[in-house]
Amino acid sequence: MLYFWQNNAIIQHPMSKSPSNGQRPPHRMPQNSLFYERIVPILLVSMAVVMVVLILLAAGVLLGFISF
Amino acid sequence: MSVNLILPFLSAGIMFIFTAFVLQRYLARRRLYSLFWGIGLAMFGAASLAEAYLAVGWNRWVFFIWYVFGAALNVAWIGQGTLYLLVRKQWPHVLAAVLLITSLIPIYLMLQVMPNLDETLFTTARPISEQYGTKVVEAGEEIPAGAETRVILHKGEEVTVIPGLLPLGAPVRRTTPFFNIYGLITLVGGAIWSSYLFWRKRVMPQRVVANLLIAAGALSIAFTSTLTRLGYGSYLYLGELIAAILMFIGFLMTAAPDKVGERPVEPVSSQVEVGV
Repeated sequence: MLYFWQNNAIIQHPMSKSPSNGQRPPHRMPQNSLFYERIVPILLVSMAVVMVVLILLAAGVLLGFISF
Repeated sequence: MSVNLILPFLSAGIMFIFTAFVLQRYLARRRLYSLFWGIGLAMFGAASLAEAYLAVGWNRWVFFIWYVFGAALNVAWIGQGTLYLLVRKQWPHVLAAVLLITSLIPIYLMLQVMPNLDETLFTTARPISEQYGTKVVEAGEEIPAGAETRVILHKGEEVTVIPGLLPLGAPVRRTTPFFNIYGLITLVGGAIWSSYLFWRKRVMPQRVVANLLIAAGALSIAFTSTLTRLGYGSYLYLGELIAAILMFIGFLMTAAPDKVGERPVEPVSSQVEVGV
């Protein structure tokens, strides 16, 4: 992102502005990253599966299917 | 010093610092999600401190704090905070009211069972998570080495049990799955959902990781709590410490200013690049 000190004010470089609304674009993910392209989705799915299993176990205890 | 004392003491220390951060944020911005997170984390810290106390001695009211705030309520209250963070509508207020009212139920039921605690069974040699519940020994089930068993009359039938501090069938134990299911869905589900949204839009990689850490921390405590419920309580303290560390790091990452959007821009000199 480019900024300029001009006429006692900070001016953002026109080429660095977001084309749609003039706001700064959010920080983006690195491209071609093994971590974000492969590992993050695997982690998300794995955690969702573990969460569902734990919910089912808790429901099993609640309904009396699993003794405690 | 035993591991049973060190681990919960560390967890409590991290949780109280974490709570201070979150409540400070609430005082600055007055957002309800910070308040519910702060209350839930304070419950977590209090329960961890109670564990540390119960590693060196017995006090029935410390046990009360440990069970009500640690086993029953804390995850649901933190999860309610996550719900407020994710949903900017009116219906989370209804769920918050339900949570507030239903949180009185385990407190009431625990107060009722307090005179019936079998304090003679308490020992500092084992973590409290391994001795709080009375477990029925099913036919053919292997009894752990060194475990004491008793035959008691329960609902008109003779059953063999491994006795614990809480009597068999104490109604308060029926309440904890409700709160834990709600907490799992809101806290873990909310963190996974947030992480997924940022990941799908390919923005804010720091928040993708932060939410993954929060989800992993919450799953750590949920997993070890489930093991405890099923009779394997020796992993609980480690799970709590992992949860405290991961969730605190995740929170610090989400609280850190975004590198592009919030970094203050200082004028350095004319015609000089000063942004990121």
